[in-house]
Formats: sequence, structure tokens, C-alpha cells
Amino acid sequence: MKETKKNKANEFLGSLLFTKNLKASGFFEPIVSIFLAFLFGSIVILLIGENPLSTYKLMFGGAFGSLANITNTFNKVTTLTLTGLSYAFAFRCGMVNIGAEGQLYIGALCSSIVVLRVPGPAPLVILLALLAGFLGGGLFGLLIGFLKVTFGANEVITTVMLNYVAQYLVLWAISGPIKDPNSLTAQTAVFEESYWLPSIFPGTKIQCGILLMVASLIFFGIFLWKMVAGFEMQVVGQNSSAAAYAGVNVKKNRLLSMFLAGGFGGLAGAIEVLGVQHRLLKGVSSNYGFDGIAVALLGNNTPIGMFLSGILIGAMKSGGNNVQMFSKVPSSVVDLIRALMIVFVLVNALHRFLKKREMRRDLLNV
Amino acid sequence: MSNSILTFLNSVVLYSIPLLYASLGVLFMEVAGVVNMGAEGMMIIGSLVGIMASNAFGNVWAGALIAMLAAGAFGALFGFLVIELRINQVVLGVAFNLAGYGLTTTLNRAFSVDGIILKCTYFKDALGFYPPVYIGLGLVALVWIILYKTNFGIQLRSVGENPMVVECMGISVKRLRYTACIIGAMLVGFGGSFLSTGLLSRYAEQMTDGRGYIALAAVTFGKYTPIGTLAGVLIFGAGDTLSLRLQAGGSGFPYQIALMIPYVLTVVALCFFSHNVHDPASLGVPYTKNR
Repeated sequence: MKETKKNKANEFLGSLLFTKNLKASGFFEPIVSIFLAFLFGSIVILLIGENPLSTYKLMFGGAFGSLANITNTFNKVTTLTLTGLSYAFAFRCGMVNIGAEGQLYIGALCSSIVVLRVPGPAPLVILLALLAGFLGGGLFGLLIGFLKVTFGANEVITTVMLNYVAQYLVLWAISGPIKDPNSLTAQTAVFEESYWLPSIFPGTKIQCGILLMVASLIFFGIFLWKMVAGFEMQVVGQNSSAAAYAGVNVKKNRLLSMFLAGGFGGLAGAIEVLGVQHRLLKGVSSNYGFDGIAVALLGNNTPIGMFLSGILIGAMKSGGNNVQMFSKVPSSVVDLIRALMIVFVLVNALHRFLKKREMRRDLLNV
Repeated sequence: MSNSILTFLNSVVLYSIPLLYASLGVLFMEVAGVVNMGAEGMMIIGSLVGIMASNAFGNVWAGALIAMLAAGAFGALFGFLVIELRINQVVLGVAFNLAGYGLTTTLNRAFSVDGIILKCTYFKDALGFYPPVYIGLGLVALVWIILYKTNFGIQLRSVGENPMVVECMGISVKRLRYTACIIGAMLVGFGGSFLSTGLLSRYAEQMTDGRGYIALAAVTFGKYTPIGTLAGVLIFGAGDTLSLRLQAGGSGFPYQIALMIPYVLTVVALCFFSHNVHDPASLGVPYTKNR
């Protein structure tokens, strides 16, 4: 009786994660990875001469200690989860998209241009700006897909290269065409307040981009697991030759997945400028594109998983500044821990390896 | 006029050198069937360790040696993860790069206030070249001889093509791939250390600026041969130099666009040269004995 109840719970939680049951969802592996990454991070913190526990306490305080901190955290979670979605969309179609950083820059650029140049009623302009961000990032992603399917150009290298190109393009735009004429540094003017994304709770600065992020995750889940087009995309991701044999158009699916991946990366940029920074700066993204890789991999490329890992990475990032302010440890330690998380998620294969070894030993004993 | 062409060529060679070492390292691993997407991370570690050790020992050669050892250790770790645990080499490489950036940035910010300045240098010859320039060019020939004229090189290339056959000959696939990973990473690390101790005399955060990825493109461009790789490296070096000239010269050319040149060049080169390259057949494929 108790067993079946447990199984039911297991299956229910698993179905939320779009897998058979909780165990099959790989829910536990990321937790081990997170723990190990913090453990290894502690070694570096000790090396710097600080206490790891008090450092992590500072990090937690910086993420959730006050209303301002929580606001900051959730605005970061919004951006990060969208870049994670960018990685996941490409991953589901068998591509490695390291380009969310560049797509974010292009999205931010496109929506800034709309806000600064297009006249009209504010709500309409905001909608148009969000759309422009999505389309700009999407076309930038589509370019990667096009280079991959037409020339066979390795998408990891092209995405990384285009990240640099996108950053310099933004730098060029904000030091020339859309520069704030009253400023000495390269940046646009602050957008008029009516063009800012409204906040969802009056009195806080948590902007409604978070709703867009949740809607995007729901779209991701429905598209990939409940729609034929998404199913085809996943088949291409798992075995492109089998998909081609079954009559699925591999090229079309790759292009579509890169367009959507780029689109969500671009949307992250649009929300960042419209809702958080309210102007286009040189450093519009503080490595959000790369954080997205960790979000996607820790979240097992599933909607709920990415929502949870997005909160984790967002909290770490917003806590990082607190760490830098009140200890000798620089905030970049967060980048290190986040990279280690990716390594350990991948190393979960270690688990499988050890298991196999045990099996082999058992065979020898027989 | 001829003088300015000469200075241009001179800086092309100089700017190619870090990339040359990195590319040869990547080549070494890729012919053995291991994708070194983590070159960027190994390189930045070489840059930081190289300059720190040079200052500590007061000798750039000692610094370069320590940098090679540090990068070699990372190569061995990378090798362990992809050979024993058969982890996805591409994603693991990217994670290595992010970890390399995170680690070097954290250590740099924790231990130095205004960046690290080199306190000793290589000696310079009349052309303005350092010894590693000549060693690097010699290394191209050496790698060619190793890969095509020695037993070890033939085994290495066979492992990249068909590891099963190598195993059947009674040669250890794992040993060959580990060797490739460690030697390859050491070369990449030296490239990184030359960036901070030879080309420039200081360390800056993320100073490798994607050169690790460009090295992969150079190897693809060179169709996995040392000579071809050298040609690719020189073209990227020319792009780098052109970019610097356009940034510095009062040509009115926007410097932000000039900065894009090496990256756009890489993408274009990948597009034109990816489709008729024969990749090693087992590139990126983990090997399991009992299959």
C-alpha cells in the first residue's frame, strides 16, 4: 500500500518533469553536481584565504536578504532561464548552441532601436520591441543553423565567433548611430519611463518579463512533448539518420530549432533592456548566455528543471556581488562554480562507469 | 612601401605564434580522435600560470615550463573524463573553457590589483622575434615528421580513424589518446603563456579572446595537416594584424568593426573549408573495447 503510494508520487512528480517517474527524470544527479561544485568552489575560496561557509552565507544573503535583493534575483532568473531555453531548444534538436550570449546582444539591440526610433503609443511600442528582440535573436540563430546545414560549419565555433561579432556590433551602435548625444560614454539615452516593462507587484521592481519567461517555458514543454512538430524535432536530435529515414526533414528542423533558440536568447536581451536596465549599455549581458548552458544542463533540458535551476543560478549571480563587497572573494567565483556544475552534470556518467565496473567484477567472480 | 609590407608581415608572424602553438596542440589531439573544444580554457590557464611563474622564478622559460605542466594536467583530466567516462567532448570542452575563465578571473582578481605585469622577457633578435617564434616554425616540421614518418604518428592517426584496428594490433588505444591529450594540452598551454609573456608583457582577463576556438577552425582549414594548419594560422594572424592596424591608424574606420575581423574571418573560413574536409573518422567518438 505504502509502496504504491510512493510509486504514484514518484510517477506524478516525474510527469511534471516530462519523464516516466521522478527517478528516471534524473532529479537526483543535478543535486549531487550542485553539491560537488560548491565543494570544489570552497577549495578556491580557502586558497584565497576566506571561509567558504561564510562566503556562501554572504551569497545567500545577497540573493534573498532584502526585497531589493529578491527583486534583483528574480530579474536575473528571468534572463537566465530564457538563455537556458535557448540552449535547450537547440539541444533537443541535437545542436550545441553556445551563442545565447550573442543572441541576447542582438535582441537587446533590436528592441532598443525600436524603443528609441519608433513613435506610437507606449504599449504598442513595447510589444513591437519585444517582437523585434525575438526576431532579431531568432534570425541571428537562424544564421548559425544555415551555416551548419549548408556548409557543415561547426556550430560551437560559429556561435562563439558570432558572440564576439554581436558584442562589437552593439558597441558600434551605441558609440555611433544610437548613442546618447548628451553622454561621453558609449551608451544610449535612458528610455522614457512609459516604455519600461511594468512591474507585476506594485511597489517592487520585479517586472512582468518573468511572466513571459514562464509562458516561454510552457510553450517549450507543449511544443516539444505535445506537438508533432516538436516530436519530429526531438527525433532529429536523438538520431538524425533515423529521422531522415522516417521521412523527417532534418534540415528544416535544425533551422527551426536554431530560429527558436535564437529567438528566446533575443527575448532575454529585449527583457533585459526594457525591464531591467532601461538603456543599452556595452555590457548588457554579464555572461547570461553562458549561465544559460548551466541552467539547461542542470535542468536536464526540461521546463520545470530549468525553472528550478534558473532560480539557483540567478540567486548565485545576484549573491555574487554581495560576496565581492564583503569579502576578498571576487564575484567571478560564481562563474567558476557554475562551470563546475556543468562539468559535474556531465561527470554523472562517472556513476554509470562505476556501476559497469561493479558488474564486470561480478562477472569475474562467477 | 616595401618596408611597411615587411613590418606588416613581421607582425603577422608574431601575432600568429600563440595561435600556432594552440593549433598544433589541437591538431595533435584531433588526429587521435579527441575533439579539443576546451582549448580556450587550457590557453587562458597557460596565460595566467605562465606570467605568474615567470615573475616568481624571474625567468620566462621556467614560467613557460610551469604553464605547460599546468595545462598538461588539465589535458590529462580532460583525457580521463573523455576516455574513461566517455563524456560528450564538445560540451565538456565548453565547460572547461568556462571553468578556465572562472578560475583565472577569480585568482587574478583575488591576488593582483591592477593586473599582472611581466618582470622579465625572452631575448629578442634583430627581426624583433623571440626564440619561440623559430621553435614554433620548427615544430610544424617536427609534428609533420612525427605524424607521417614515425610509427607513433601512424598509430596516433589510426586511433583517430579506427581505434578497433589499433586495439587488434595489440596497441593500447587509451595510452595513445592520453599521450595525445597531454602533449596537445601542453602545446596549447605554451601558446597561452606566449600570449602573456611574449606577445604582450601583461596579463588581462580573458585575454585569449576566443583564440582557442579559432585554433579549432585553423585545424579544420588545414585539413588536419601541420602545413595546412600553419597556412590557416598565418591567415588568421593576418586578420589579427589588419584588425589592429585599422584600430590604430587614423583611417576613420570604426574600431568596433575592425575588432570583428578575426571572428568574421573564422566563420567565413569554416564555411568555405568545412565541407570538403575529411575529419578523422572517429573524431569525438568515445571508444569502448567490448563492442
